[in-house]
Amino acid sequence: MSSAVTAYVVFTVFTQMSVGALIAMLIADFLAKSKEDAKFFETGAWICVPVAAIGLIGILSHEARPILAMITMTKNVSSSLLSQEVLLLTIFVILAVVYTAMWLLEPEYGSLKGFPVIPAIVGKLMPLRKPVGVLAAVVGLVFPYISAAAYMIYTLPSLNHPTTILFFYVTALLAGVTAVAAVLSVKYVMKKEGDEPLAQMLWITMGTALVMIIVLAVGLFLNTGMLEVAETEYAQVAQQETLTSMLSGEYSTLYMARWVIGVGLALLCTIALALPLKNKSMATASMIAIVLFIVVFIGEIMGRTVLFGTNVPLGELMPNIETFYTALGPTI
Amino acid sequence: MTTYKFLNVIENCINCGGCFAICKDTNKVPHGTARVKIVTINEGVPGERNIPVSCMHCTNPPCEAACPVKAIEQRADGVVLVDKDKCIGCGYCGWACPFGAPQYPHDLHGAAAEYEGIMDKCTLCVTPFVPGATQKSPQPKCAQFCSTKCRLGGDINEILPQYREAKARNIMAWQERV
Repeated sequence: MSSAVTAYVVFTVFTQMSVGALIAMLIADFLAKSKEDAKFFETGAWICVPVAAIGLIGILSHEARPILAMITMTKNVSSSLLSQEVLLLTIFVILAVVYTAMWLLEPEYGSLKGFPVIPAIVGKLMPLRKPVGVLAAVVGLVFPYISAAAYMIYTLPSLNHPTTILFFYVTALLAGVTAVAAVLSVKYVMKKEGDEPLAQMLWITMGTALVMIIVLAVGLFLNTGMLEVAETEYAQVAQQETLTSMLSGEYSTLYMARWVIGVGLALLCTIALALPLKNKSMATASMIAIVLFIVVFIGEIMGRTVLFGTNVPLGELMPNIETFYTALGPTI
Repeated sequence: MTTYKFLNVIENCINCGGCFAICKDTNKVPHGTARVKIVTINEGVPGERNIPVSCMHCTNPPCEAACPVKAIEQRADGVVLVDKDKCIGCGYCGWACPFGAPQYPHDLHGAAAEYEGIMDKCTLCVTPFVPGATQKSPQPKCAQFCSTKCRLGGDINEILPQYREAKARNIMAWQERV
């Protein structure tokens, strides 16, 4: 696996996960009926921004000039999909930082309420927390689409189909929501408090995970079928290479493991979550939620590695260039 | 209006490597990077063909549209150039190009070390690997050096008649054979 593939995997999985984490926190924001509930949920606010930062570090580490990239990557918004993706991510991260700060610096229960001056200022802006969260979530929800569009170009035939969008949304909602649930579960295990808010969050996590895992399974199934659909013979060769690499080549083990861990085990954990939640056995439920996140995270990393690792750009298909070349001839 | 392009009469290519060698020498392209490479298809079987592949200086270059930092620009005469001082080496142009022309060289030494991971491609001999004084008129050495006149490079108005003539000759030769 090349370092570029690792960079793309880290960038896409972590940035999308941060979108899901923010959405989970927004849900928690609306779920919190009291200060105690909000105090319990507040810990989850620590996830979104650090996870997005890991994603950004991941992509910048792959650039030849990371500092220059940070400054100039949004220069060609009019025609470059990569520029549009980075611009949208920047807006999302700014909103996410503001939203997270409003959680962590909340004067009554924020973890950073001890900071001088800032909590007093934030306290006055607290009515804006939900609107900021909603705005960040809206931008965040557009992000996976634009991110997928950046890879859905005709010279990347194996990524140029709708399942790429599907996979990106699944990562956002599945990994992001389960990450917040796992952190809250760890808090519950350590402090033994917050039965009621945790139960609410885990029910939502369970529902989201169940839907997303089913969508993921359908997406994976469609992906292998749709890989054979291409507009040109040249693109078909690239897609066949991808399919071979995925099903019987270098990445086949990882692809199968992705099905077993990312779909099978994750589905098992999600279903298993229902019983302790129904019996109000929160200790067991939180342990399962932690395991669910670990399983989902490993599955998503494996899935994304397969997605980018098996990708065959047309430019790499030199030995099969004849078809394309012949087609191009008369138009030159 | 002058528009610079490459055209390859692929039936004429004998895979001598002349274009590759003169390009390396003229533009001081380091080891491991090739602005032009010869691709052989159907090797060892009837219908074997050799194709010199480099940046084709497309009319609507997808690399230019894809570049997030506007480092790639097409001049009025059709030559697509990369500004190496702006390039961040993200590799997106390499994904956008259907010919695989953009190269991202590594393990560079001396003056070239500054351009580690920065995109490099054919510039129709306008700029060498380490950019220096820019020439005004593109004079692709690979085309000048090609011993079989397979590689045609220059103003499309000049090379297109040559290309058509060579193609017609090849078709006539084929007809005579059958």
